[in-house]
Amino acid sequence: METLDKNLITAEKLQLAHNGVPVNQMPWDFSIPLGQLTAVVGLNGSGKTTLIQALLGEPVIHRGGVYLGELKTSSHRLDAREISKWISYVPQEHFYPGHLTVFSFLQIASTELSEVEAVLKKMGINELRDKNLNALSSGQRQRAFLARAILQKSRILVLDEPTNHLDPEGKNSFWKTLAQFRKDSNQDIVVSTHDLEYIKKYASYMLALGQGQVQFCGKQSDFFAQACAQKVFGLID
Amino acid sequence: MRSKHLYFFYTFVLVSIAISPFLGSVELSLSKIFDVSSPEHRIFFDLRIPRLLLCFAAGASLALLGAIYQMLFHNPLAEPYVLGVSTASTLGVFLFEHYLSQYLGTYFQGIAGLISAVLYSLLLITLSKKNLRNPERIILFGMGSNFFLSSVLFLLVSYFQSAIGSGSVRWLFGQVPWLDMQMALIIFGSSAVICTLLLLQSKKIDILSLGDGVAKSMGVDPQTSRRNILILSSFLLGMTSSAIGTVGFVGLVAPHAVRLWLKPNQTRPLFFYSLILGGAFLAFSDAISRSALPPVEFPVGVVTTFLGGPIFLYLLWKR
Repeated sequence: METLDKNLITAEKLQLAHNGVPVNQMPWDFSIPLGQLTAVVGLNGSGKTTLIQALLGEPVIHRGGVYLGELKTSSHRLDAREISKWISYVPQEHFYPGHLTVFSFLQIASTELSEVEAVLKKMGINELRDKNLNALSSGQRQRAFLARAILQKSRILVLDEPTNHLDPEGKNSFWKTLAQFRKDSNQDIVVSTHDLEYIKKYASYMLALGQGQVQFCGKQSDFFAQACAQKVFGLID
Repeated sequence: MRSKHLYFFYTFVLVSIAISPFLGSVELSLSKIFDVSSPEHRIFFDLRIPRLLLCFAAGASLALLGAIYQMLFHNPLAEPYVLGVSTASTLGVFLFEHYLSQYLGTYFQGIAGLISAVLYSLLLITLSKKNLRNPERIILFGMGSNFFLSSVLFLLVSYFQSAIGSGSVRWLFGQVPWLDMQMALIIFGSSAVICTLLLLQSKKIDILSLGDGVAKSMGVDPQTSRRNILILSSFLLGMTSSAIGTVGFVGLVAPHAVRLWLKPNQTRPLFFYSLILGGAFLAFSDAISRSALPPVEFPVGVVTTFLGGPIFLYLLWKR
């Protein structure tokens, strides 16, 4: 069993760069504790996706580092196997082979039939199990991708703007499913999202990025209490 | 429903393979070929069967590579020649023919093609570590080098006027040579080995097809896995291109035909059926190319496109 730092994710003087272009001039320092559903918010371009890339060990770190527990993601010892124990990733842009049915798609992640059955029911997509991936609506497909990520049983579920292409009903259903899953499994979740109303309802922790800095990192309730949304988004709650 | 389609599929495949060696510029009958002293016997066993083995191996390889590339590059229009490996191989064979064959003989032509293919792939792999980290850029590089290498090839072909017939036809439409049984078995056997190795990678390819970030988070390093698959593919494609040149359509369309016809819901069956369909189809097209208007032998790529185009459109229309 690896000994974990008491924080899940820690950033230390982190400076990110995307394709050589620096994302933040001021270094970032923050830590996300264990046992949270953390919402990462910020305007487009604020570095949310690049931060997630850094968590995956991609070469986007210019200076400093980010740690999963005590493991530095930019260390040479970090290969895909290690990453997969830590992170289960659902990206913003999906590639998928259309010929797979939901069931055979999930079998890629787990060969245990009982697990696949269980997650199909938990995500409410059991009736869709024999449908092709390209015959699903985007909301249904999103839940299938979430199911696949859950089957990996990694430490952290990392979702990059999962409700981007969903209609209001899709958003609602997705967040409800995610929240229910967290209640049942107590898994650590990090979601980058713009869905403020759902963050208020379901997120316990928040990391807000804006103007090249960490604008807020702490309990979700404090974020809204301190009216930080205005600073980050230029919005009024 | 699916088993009915599978029945027709296997029937089509077996009939195509069985008929092919009987077709050609010389009519062969079942009785005559078993008469050991007759010329028909020699034609059948020393010429037609090796040719069948070669065509099946080539068609199967092209179809499997097409199916794999379509998944690796998230692109339904991807096909085996998209990375430029085949053009590099053909260029290698051409250069060998004109500069080295006087010293080494034509037997090593195939090796020249193979070496060119592998060298080119190594270049691709080295570049993919730095500038070509993602699949989209790899394809763009392949397209660019395809344009460049093919223009070099055409320049050389026009310079060496004498080869203008065979060189460019081989490259544009493919040309199946008459090989002896030993050579045909070598090619068939090597193709079978590499195709099997590729089929064993089905699960990795499934994971890679989900995107590099997801693959990494599922424990599969995208750069390493892609590199390994590219190495295997370049051997296979190098060997195939050296033998029969560039035959279009099979690699692109066989996987789609399988998807439309058999609707496999897993990847390994998709790969396997594509392989079989590609092999049977190329064998059959080659038979037609030799027997449609004897003694004219059409380049096999012309026949694959001519036969395959309408069939594919029909499949598309039925769905």
